[in-house]
Amino acid sequence: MSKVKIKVDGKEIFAEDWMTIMQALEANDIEIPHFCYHPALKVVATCRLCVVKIEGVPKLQTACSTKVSDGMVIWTDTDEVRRARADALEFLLINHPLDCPQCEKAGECKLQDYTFKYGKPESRFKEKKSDFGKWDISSKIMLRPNRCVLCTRCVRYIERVLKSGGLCVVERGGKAHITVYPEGGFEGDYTLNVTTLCPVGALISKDWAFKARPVYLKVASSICTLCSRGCSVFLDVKGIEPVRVRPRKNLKVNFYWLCDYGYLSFKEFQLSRRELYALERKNSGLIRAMPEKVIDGILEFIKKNPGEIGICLSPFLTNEELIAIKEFGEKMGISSFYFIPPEYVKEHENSWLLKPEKAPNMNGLKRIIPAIKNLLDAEERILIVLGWIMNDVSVPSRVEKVLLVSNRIPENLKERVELFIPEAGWAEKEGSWTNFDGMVQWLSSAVDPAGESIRILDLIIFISRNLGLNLPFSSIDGIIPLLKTYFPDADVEGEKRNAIRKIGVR
Amino acid sequence: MNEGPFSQLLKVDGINKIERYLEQGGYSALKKALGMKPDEIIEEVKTSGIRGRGGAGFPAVVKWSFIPKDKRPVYLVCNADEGEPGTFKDRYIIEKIPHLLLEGIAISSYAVGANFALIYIRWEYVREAEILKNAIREAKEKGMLGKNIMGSGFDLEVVVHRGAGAYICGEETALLESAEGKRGNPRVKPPFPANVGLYGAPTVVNNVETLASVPLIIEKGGKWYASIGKPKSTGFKLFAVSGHVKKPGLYEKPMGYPLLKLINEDCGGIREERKLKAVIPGGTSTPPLTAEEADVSLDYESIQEKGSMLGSGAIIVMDDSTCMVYVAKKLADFYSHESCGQCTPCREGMPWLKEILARIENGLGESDDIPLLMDICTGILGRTLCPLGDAGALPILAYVKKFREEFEAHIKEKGCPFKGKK
Repeated sequence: MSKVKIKVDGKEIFAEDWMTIMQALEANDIEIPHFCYHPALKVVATCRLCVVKIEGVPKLQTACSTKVSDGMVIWTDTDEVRRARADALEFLLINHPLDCPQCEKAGECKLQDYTFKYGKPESRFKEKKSDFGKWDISSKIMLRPNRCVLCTRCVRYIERVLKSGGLCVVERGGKAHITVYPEGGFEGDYTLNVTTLCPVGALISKDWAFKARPVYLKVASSICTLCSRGCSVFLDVKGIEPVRVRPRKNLKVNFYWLCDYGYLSFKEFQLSRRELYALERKNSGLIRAMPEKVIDGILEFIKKNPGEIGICLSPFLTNEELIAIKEFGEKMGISSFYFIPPEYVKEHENSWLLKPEKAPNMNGLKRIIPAIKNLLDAEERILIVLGWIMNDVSVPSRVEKVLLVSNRIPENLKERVELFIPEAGWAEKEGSWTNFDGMVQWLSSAVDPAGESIRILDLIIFISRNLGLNLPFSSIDGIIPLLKTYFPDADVEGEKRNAIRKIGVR
Repeated sequence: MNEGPFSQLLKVDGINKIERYLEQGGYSALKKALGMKPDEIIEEVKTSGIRGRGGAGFPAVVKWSFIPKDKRPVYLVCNADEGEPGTFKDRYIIEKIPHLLLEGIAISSYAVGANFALIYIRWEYVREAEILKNAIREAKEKGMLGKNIMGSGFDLEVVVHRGAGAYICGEETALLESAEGKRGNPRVKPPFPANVGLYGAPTVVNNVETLASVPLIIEKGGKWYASIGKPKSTGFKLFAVSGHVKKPGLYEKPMGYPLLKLINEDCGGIREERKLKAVIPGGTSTPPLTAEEADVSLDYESIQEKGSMLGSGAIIVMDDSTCMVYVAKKLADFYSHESCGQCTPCREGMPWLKEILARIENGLGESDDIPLLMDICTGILGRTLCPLGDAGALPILAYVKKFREEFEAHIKEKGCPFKGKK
């Protein structure tokens, strides 16, 4: 491998000698419009949009399929190139239904963006548009072949990445279109990736359809909550409601992909599935109370019964929350820490991305508090349970009273919960998780906590201050430097501080 | 039909049988070749100057010399997917003298180091595929194919693979995809088949007529072959003449033979003593020559000077009753149907051309349709992954340019002026 020097639009750049022009330009943040090219898929050079002019070569060449060579002189914006792009876009649009106002992809559609940027303003097409119908190809995906630009990313993903089948191109020429295998639907654990691969609105997640205009979404760079892989994702929030999860490129964890469960995992964090108000026990029932009053109640419990309290932690807590809780426990003289065992799905033991352990930070939890015990071994009378809960929680009958700070109250705990404070949701807090592989990754927040919910970190700092405990930090920024105590690679001074927020460190 | 070596063999009755072929001195070139070194054979064919007879006119032996010496196995593929409208030369060779083709395949395989050869034959050639299979069986029985051919130690298996009916599979990389059992879409080049071909192995792909010419070159010598025709277009060529001539058919001529002489003398002139209007010199994907341009000799360079191509040598003659809008529409019909559909300009452009041309022919044309047609053609030309885009757009653009007044008349008179005259 060696470096080569090429000239792009009069500017000299360096590239590796094995790169294609597309790769070299991408590495230098120079945009070349394209549909069929995708870094993870075989190059087919069929959309003909990424054409560039290479000096000394008579015809325009596709950037995706042409290798760079030393001294190559490339022009990406000549009249000839502009005309070829505009022609290709015109060709793609002649049979396109132009139904952008009712298309789920509008706003994040490559065809729309490129047409505005590189296309022609008017259509010269007077003929009848072709019509291939529309239908659902699986329980999760709907196909709108008329919008398709036949980039075949979906087909190549299934063939090359999944090494399976399901979608294919049938017919030739203008009749060519994407369809599903006649034997049946396209089902599996990794099918929804075709909806994010699709540059236009041809393959749409049924769950996402008609939910929101992408331009109105707030986007959090986050981590999937679903299993101990911890795939990098974008979490899209409409107003304060999470509405969509998309994979975020991370070549160290999930590449460009996400499992179907991950795509739909935001549902657990939607407002309808959460408790949003603080509650306290009055007589035999839980009723709403001022959050300040409930926090005071927790303080009272801690002051009155110092020796009888255990702390139970959810494997969904962030490293920063865990460090804060640990410091708090030490200062309070509480040494009994328990964890809620995550669900274990045996079928996912040998899956591609899916991990059997259904929680994102079991690894971090065990590293920060090595002496932590299973919740089943809890001996204390009073238990403070912290962090998100996905299923029912088995708490031993010895435990009489539960002080709960979580996203919901499990049915089987209802009788024992004394005080409840709702916890901030997925899109509402930031911090890091450590995946099964020891990768420390960052999730950022998009919105403030909904309803009366509160971030656990803020709660711990608040309680500590009230109890007169002197914690060595007063915010998340004070905790980040402590990460390296538990994760030697997460030495987040200087440059790595950005790395952890982007792709994670190991 | 006259003069050339194919014609002489074609005259012999029953030469499709190996006994008869052997009587005529068949397989003697193979015997001679097996006594030579592969490089000597390549040198001999190089001397002959023979250019690929499939249509592109690429020097045949250049493909052979691109085969890397250190990568094995090597495959030889005979392209018998003769789909270009107007072309029927390979069919004659396969049907009448299949053993000449097999002999050529054997010599060429030996030269490039292939022990496996595949004949990819178009789906429509049902009988021809059977003839080839029979011929292969006969040749194996006589020890001309199979293990240890004529005691030389050289093995060769020849297999007939039938296509599934797509014109695009005549393009060599689409052919390879199809032969591998995939959808017949052309591949991105490079890598070229000589490096990554059939099942990823180095592969030589040659046309039937090219391979069938090899025994002659070995027998009579490359120098002799090069002495026929023109300096850069050597040897004999089969011309498939169809259209408005009195005697259509297959004609074998040395390269450089005058086109008008072929039409007026050999083919007996235009039917019903009409006037020549246009002639397609090399199959429908080559631009037509007008009557004035038709005074040209049949070789690669001369026809290129006139802005067209010799192509596969399929000559289609059109008299003055022919509607050029209709011809262009038929072409657009064909190329839009045969576009594989993977790359944008060809997939979308061809059907668009077809729709516009159909409108003009049916009297629904508008004045801005003519510049639009030319614009669409330029949008396709040179912008597609494989040559099919050019093969459709280049001739259609030529029809519009050369016969523009006919297109204008269709639009002005709201219909075809030739209606009832055809």
